Amino acid sequence: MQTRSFDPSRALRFDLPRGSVHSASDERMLLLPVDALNELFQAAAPGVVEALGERIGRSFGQRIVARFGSIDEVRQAPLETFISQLAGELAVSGFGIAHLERWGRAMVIAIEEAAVSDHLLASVIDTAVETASGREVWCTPIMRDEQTARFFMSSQSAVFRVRQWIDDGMPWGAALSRLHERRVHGEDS
Amino acid sequence: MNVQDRIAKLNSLLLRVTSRPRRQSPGDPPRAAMNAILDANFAAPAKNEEPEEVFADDLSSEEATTTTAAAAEAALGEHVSNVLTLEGHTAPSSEISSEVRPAPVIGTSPGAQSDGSIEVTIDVDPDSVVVKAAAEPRYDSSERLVAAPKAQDQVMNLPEPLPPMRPESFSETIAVDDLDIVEEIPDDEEPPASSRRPVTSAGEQLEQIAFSDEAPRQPPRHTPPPESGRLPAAPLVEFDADVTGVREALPIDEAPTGDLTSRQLPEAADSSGQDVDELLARDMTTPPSNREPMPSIDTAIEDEEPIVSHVELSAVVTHAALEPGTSVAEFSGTVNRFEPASFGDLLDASLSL
Repeated sequence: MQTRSFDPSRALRFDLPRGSVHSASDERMLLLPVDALNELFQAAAPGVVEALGERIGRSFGQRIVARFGSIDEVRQAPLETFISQLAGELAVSGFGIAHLERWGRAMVIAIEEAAVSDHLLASVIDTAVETASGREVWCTPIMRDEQTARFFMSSQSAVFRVRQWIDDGMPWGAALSRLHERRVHGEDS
Repeated sequence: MNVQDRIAKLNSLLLRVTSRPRRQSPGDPPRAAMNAILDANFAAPAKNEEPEEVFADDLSSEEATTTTAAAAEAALGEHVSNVLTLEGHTAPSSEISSEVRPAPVIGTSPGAQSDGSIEVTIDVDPDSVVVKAAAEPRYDSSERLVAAPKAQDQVMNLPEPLPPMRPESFSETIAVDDLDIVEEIPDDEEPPASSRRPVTSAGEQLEQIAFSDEAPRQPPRHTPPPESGRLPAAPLVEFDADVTGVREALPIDEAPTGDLTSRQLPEAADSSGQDVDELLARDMTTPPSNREPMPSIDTAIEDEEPIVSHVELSAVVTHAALEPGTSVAEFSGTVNRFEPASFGDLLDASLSL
């Protein structure tokens, strides 16, 4: 079944007599203030935040795969279809608006109006894509301003190199360009 | 025979003479006085000796007794002189006078007492007197005393007087008016004896420093100290102004009142017939308040005239005649644009980076 757009109907189901919130996959949800959650993340250890993000992203990926029917269908889906499903999951949960940017061969997920920290978002996106595609994917934040936060998604080695270059002061666009230059020289040789 | 033997012999002779009866003549010296003298000086040895054995052969008769008395008087005089000499009474003069006063009479003859005195005069040569101190028992020293020479001879043998200690040059008086240091300094002054370095004259040093291309032969610190007084003036040498570039400035009263700029210099130099350097020097002497303001750049460019000191270079460009529209570049193929068909293609492409 081809899913071209995200259908937000019945994404959340509030059972007011019971006082509960359930997702489309009948998973109980909890609505929390963002500030309280960020204070918790600030006080919590990095491993705790990463584990929480992985748990949230895995739920997103499983629902995307459920909509597409299988991982192969997800991989064969157009970019707009996939990003629509991922962005719908992030938007329904309140993380922000997601875009997919293609910088040459590099795939970059941009989140506008992000509600949580980059560390939590990177963990959520990484696990969601990895769960939906069935491939091991590494993600690292490369830039953030008042409006947008960008995350580069690639292999482990590529993510570490870009992270190292950015930490050394290289602009994120230059780091991505340098990543392509090394690949071109490797192919030529 | 030593002195004691001789004295003892004389004593015995005198005793023998005095012990015999004899007529007293008026010219003879009183016998008692002679005995007193002998007793006072030689009493001990005279009384203990026996004269018979010594003079047994010589004195045997009455005539011999008379001659013996005369000889005794002569011997007595000699003995007295010796005694006086031994006692240190030798007079500095050659004549010795001795006065014998009457002594108490030891003999038994009452007629022998007399109030007369004996006066003995002996000529003694001081040079010939040799005192043998060992002969006298009162002197412990056995050294032989030698009389000193006469003082007159010592004075005569004095060395000649020493020459005067002050050199003759000190006695000379130097007149200050005669000293003219500047004129009297010779050019070829000899170096002092204590210095081995040659001393060059001031004139040669000045000439060497001023006109020689080489460095001075001696370092300045080895040169002698400057002489006091006037320094000789350096010789007047005319330098070529074209070579050195140093020229005398004009007096202030002769300097022009107007301003001379670099652009006006050639014209002013041509009109006045003076050198450019002279005009520059004249410009330096002019007060800034009297100078005219500098012309603006536009005015200077419009009134551009040939400049002597600064030459402006401008490039003459020759453009190439190129025909536009010629296809220089040739493109083959198109840009390989990555257009992933699906999410999986993009994910694989990103993972391949």
